[in-house]
Amino acid sequence: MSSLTHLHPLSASVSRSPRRIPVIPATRLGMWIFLASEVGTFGGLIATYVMMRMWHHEWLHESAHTLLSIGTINTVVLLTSSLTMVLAHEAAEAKERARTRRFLLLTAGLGLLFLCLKAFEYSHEIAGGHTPKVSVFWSFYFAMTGLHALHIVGGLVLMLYATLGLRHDCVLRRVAPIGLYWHFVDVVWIILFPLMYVTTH
Amino acid sequence: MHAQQQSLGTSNPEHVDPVHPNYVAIWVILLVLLGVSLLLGRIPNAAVGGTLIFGVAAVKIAIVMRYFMHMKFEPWLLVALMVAALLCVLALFFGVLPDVVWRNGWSGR
Amino acid sequence: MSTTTLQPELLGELNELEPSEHGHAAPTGFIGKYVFSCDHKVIAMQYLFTGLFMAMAGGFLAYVIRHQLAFPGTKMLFHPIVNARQYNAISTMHGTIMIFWVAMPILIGAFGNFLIPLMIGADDMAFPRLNMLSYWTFLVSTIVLLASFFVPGGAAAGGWTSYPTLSVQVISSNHWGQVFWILAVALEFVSILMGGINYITTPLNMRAPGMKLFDLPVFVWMQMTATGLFMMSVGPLIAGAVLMLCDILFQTGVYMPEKGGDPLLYQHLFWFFGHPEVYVVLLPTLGIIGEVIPVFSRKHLFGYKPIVFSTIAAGLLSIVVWAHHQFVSGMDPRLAAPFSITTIIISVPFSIVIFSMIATLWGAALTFPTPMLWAVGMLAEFLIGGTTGIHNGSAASDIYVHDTYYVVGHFHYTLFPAVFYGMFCGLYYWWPKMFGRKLNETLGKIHFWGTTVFFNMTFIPMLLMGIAGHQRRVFDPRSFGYLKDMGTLHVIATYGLYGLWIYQIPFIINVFCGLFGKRMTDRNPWRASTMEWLAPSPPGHGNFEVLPECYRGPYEYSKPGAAEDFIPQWLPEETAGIARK
Repeated sequence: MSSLTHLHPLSASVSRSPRRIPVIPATRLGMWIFLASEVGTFGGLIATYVMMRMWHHEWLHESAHTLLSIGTINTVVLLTSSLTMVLAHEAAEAKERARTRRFLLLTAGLGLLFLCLKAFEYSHEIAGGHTPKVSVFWSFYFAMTGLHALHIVGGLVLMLYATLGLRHDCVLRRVAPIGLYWHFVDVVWIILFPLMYVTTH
Repeated sequence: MHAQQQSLGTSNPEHVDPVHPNYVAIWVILLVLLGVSLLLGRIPNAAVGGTLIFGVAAVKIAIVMRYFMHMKFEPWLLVALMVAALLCVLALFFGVLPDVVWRNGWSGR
Repeated sequence: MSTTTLQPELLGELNELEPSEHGHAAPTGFIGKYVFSCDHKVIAMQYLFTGLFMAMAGGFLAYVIRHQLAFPGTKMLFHPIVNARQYNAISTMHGTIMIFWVAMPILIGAFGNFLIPLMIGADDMAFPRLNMLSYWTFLVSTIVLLASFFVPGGAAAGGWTSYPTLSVQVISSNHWGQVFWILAVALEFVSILMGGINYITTPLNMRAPGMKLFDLPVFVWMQMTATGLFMMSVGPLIAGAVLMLCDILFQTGVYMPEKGGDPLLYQHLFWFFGHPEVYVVLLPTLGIIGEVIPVFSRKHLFGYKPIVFSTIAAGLLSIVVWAHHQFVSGMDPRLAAPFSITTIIISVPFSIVIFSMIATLWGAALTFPTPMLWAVGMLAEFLIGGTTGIHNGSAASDIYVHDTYYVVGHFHYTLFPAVFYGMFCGLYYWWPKMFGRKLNETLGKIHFWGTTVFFNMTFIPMLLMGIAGHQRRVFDPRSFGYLKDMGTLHVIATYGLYGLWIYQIPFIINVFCGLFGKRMTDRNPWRASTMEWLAPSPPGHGNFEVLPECYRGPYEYSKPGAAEDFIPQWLPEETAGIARK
């Protein structure tokens, strides 16, 4: 028997999309899976830092030199950018393109402000002699905040990419995963802030 | 045709429920919590202060994930995914911690 | 849920949110079709051939290592005489290449990409462009890795695990090899992460109508578990690698004891990923043989659900076994007992899987074409790897055999069957689907028997040497008096490797003939019941002429009353000629 007879006699009535209702749309599910692996990256870094902190009592004095004022301002900036991001998402769901665009650019602007403040902070610390090589605390400080800052840069790129593509309606759906990513970067900062600034003063 | 099984749980109510949370109010709550954690930083007892500060941070994270990331509306499988990722990190922490502390000593916080 | 229950408002939402990138048109022109392609099958072929090329490179390095060990300091073909620094670099790169650039791209990148959409009856992955980006990131990582041979100071020489302080300090004057190593591995991880998003999302969201999660072929389950495990465990190593890069480039001291750091921390971070990675490599192969064995046994896969659940359990357990690699590293000895216990426990779920495979063979009308030979061979050889692993997993015996050739023999007995037997099994089995031509059976059998004989000839001496106390990572065994007696075993192992190489020639010939020979017309040459055999061979853009629906589980063989001895997943009840229920 030829294997062609195994072809089922299905008519063309099966449309190519949608084949099933996914419980979570693929773009969002994919982003969540990515974020789960990011939990491991930042979690690993934070866990390592906390362990090292537990036997380095002298870090208490080192870490008193971080700038609490700028750290606080930066926290406010990131929390606000999360608000504008979620408003952009809301606008995208309502298919209001102009509003989506405005909120996205606002979010990106706040992200840029964060980076500028961070750059000022870095230069202040390095000028004060707190370079990564002086002690393991500063190694961790620069590695953790640096990796976080890289994620902010990545978020900015994603947002600008989405803003450019907003001419097409279908691109509105990109806002949801970008929003998830941005809030996650915010969440990481919410942990880093007490870890690096508050508990050390 | 077979009745197809819903594979991951109940269908997503986010699209059914058009009522969005009041995002601005949540933002205000987050800022208030930030102020609280700054005040807690002034507690002289590091152990108590530290615990409270990280408690506040956990609340902030929960709020951001529930409302801004809409996790409140997602099916349980997604929550399980994130919890699993967190458990992995905890496994790492509590597996390595005794080794680091036993070998190098414990400073107390 | 049948299409009739689709609510209109939901449908509108869906068209907005569901992958519309996925409805990409068939590309035209050579570059769009074969180079920058979003088609999962083309990407799978790109992964496959890059992986095969790297396998040749890694195998060549193995040849250099083996020659140096058996005939230290003598001339060899194709390579100048190595010095100790080069030997270290070559063994480092052999391990790195074989794990990250052969096992991962072939078993996950190639087979996962090719088979997941076909097996679930989808037209492509959920994110085709992410898939393409994944391959090109992988290719860049390959180039970075190969380029590291030519940087000042040569390739990384700190072992494939790159333990500090060796990797950070001793070679810091000539650290570019190590920096390239970290960059290449990081890029490779990014690539597999991007692929992994696809491998999990696609089976969850894009299964054919009627296909429940437990109608998925076991291969798809294994791929999902493997990639999920990878994504859960890789993060801490990325963090550790970032810290190591800082240590090398900015002279920070996270791993340097004199600066207040802790070198053992890296070992924890590395093996927290490294041990799950073993299962990331093993699970796809178990999936492959889980597909092949029922077909040639003409039986339902024994214990489908237990297999699925025990692999998930093994995956979860593998997160908490990592410190068994560090029993003699200076780690606090009080941790040895808990990690020995978890390590021994993990053999329970894997025994369930292996015994289910063997139980499938029990009482079956077995036939042994080449894919089946590789599948059964994999089971047999892997059992040796698994049982020697028990001695490494329990601290008491590991203290004796640790860092000896026993360990080298052990992990080659696990990884060689997992990577190469699994890969050959999959290639001989799915080659008709991949290229529309069958591989030659005679050459295939020569290939199998030659490989099996010489594989054992290479690695049994290593187990013996290890028990006799021969430590690994030795450049010139003759410089140690007590190792002189083992020279013969080294020579036997080296001749075994020569034989192993020679018996890959039939495979290479077979591949070339299989790429250009006569096309076959039969879509389903093995009479298998899973969904990929419905598609044309090779499948065109969009895979199926009409996207199929699924009516039953994947292993319906030898059902009484059916017209044939197998009932495909895509066949409706009335056509199958049986009255069910």
